[in-house]
Amino acid sequence: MAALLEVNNVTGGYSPSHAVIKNISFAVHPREIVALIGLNGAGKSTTIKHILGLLQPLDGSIKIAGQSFQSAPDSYRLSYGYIPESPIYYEELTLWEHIELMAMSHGLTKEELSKRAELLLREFRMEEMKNRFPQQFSKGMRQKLMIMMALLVQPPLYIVDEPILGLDPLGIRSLLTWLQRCKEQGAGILMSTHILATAEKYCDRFIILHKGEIKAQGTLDELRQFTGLFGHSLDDIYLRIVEDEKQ
Amino acid sequence: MKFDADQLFRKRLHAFSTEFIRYAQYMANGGVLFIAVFLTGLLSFYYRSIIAMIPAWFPLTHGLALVLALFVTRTPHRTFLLEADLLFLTPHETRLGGYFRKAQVYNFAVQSVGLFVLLLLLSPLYTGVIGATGLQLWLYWLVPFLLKGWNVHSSWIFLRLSAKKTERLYTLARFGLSYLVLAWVLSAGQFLSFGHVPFGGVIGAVLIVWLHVQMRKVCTGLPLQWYRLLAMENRLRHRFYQFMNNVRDVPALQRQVKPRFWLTGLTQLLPYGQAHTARHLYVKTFLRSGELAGIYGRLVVIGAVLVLLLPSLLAKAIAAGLLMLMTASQLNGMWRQQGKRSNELLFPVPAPAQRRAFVWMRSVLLLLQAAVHITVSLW
Repeated sequence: MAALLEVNNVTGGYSPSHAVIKNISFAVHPREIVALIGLNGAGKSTTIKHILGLLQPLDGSIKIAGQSFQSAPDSYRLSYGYIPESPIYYEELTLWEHIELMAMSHGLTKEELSKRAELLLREFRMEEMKNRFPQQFSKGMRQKLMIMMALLVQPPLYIVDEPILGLDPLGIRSLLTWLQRCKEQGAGILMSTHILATAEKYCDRFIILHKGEIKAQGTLDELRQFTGLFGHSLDDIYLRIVEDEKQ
Repeated sequence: MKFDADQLFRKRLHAFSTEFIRYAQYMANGGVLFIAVFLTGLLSFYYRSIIAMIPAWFPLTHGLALVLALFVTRTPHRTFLLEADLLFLTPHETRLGGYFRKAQVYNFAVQSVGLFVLLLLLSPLYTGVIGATGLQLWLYWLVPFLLKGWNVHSSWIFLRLSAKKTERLYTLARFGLSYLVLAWVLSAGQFLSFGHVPFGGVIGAVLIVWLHVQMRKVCTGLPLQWYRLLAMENRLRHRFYQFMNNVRDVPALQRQVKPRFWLTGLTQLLPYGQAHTARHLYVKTFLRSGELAGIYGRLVVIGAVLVLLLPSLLAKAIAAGLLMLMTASQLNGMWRQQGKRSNELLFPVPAPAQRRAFVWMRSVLLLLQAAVHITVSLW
């Protein structure tokens, strides 16, 4: 199956003299959830910024559905849904106006908008917040706004950065089951996280990033084989890989 | 290490004055100052003919007292507090007396400058039209400053009240007292005088005693309202930055948002669709921006008043033109701010489409302003 997202030998960072991520390669295919795992400062967010087209790789290439950001910046940005780690929003727009503009910018019809938005608002229990401003929301509610905006447009690829932090337990369940459903319908999902128990339960493959380099990647079984920790949890495997590096 | 409130205030004031001087220099070099000076010149040139338009039946003394009373009662308190003070300064609350006293002196000084300008502006009315001389003139220049000082002092004390409603009531009382005193003084003791009894003076004396009793109660019993002081400081600081943003981009500028659902309903007139995303976004951002829409409204009103007052057609046209220039410069500031937002990810609208939408909105707003000016000049 052709990959949705292809990251090929990417080296990059915030300044040309100092690469934060080094020679990274991985792919996300339709119908799979891939976890990007690493400590604080491992390079997860930097990797994601390169994928979003906010940072340009010093070396290597990134393609979504065969297109790079440079070759088609407008359609590239429309081809993914992004849930950021810290919510970004317009102070001047209400929750509903964010959702409406999102639908508009992605070319959804009014009917599609009202049908999908209604479902999402109910699922994330945000119906009563419709006409309120994100400024008045808690961190978790802002996060829910980001989630609803990404899920609304039903893109082929989701890029999700630390989605669980700040969400209440019901919100976490809603998000994960919804992503599961998107996956079943053919979407590919890249999810950065350091909540390993959740990653182990919901993700199909894992990319372990440490100090800007990929230390291991594969399914849980492949990782077990790689480390020799048969029958162990992702937590143990991850710690082994990172500890080995320390020694 | 010993906590030194006086030194802290000096440090904060110094930091602000450095910033103020820097922006003032930018302003001296910028075009906005030139436009403002030019408009002031234009207005002062026609000042006499405008005064002549005041009808004879108009109670000028009370008008003056009202304007001055509003001005002396309005006492915003800059305190130079910072967000982090909630954590670091609150433990020292009882030792902050000197800090806040200095802040009051600062506020009195700054507001007195405005008061002086206002008195200067109104003095031709008092001396020319009403014909005051001698002692009355001395009182005209003295009493408003005394009232200003008293208002700064008393409003600071009433800020300790947690119930906004009660505080507003005292503000009303302060206004009543200020108006009474001013009307009494400016009318040379004639206000509310029946027979030989100066009721104006009597009511004033009763009010002031009552207010002082209340002040003592509040002052001894209540702690400082930190959140409110901080909100006030942030609002004033924001206003300063917003003003300075006319001449120079202010990085620290935070947007204030007003819901204004009655206005944003207008965006329903815009068609729904991918091509119109940026228009929806900009119109809503503009209408809800705490300051920008307000400044636009004020510029339109100032322009309309100038067009109405100025006698010659040429002067009207020049004033209207300059105000539209100011509007355009304000709106361009909005575009520059927009460029700095990191929200391009939120709604994927291509940059040229964003620019087109902004230019469209700017044209609509300028046309609207021009339409108002033309309508007023025809009227």
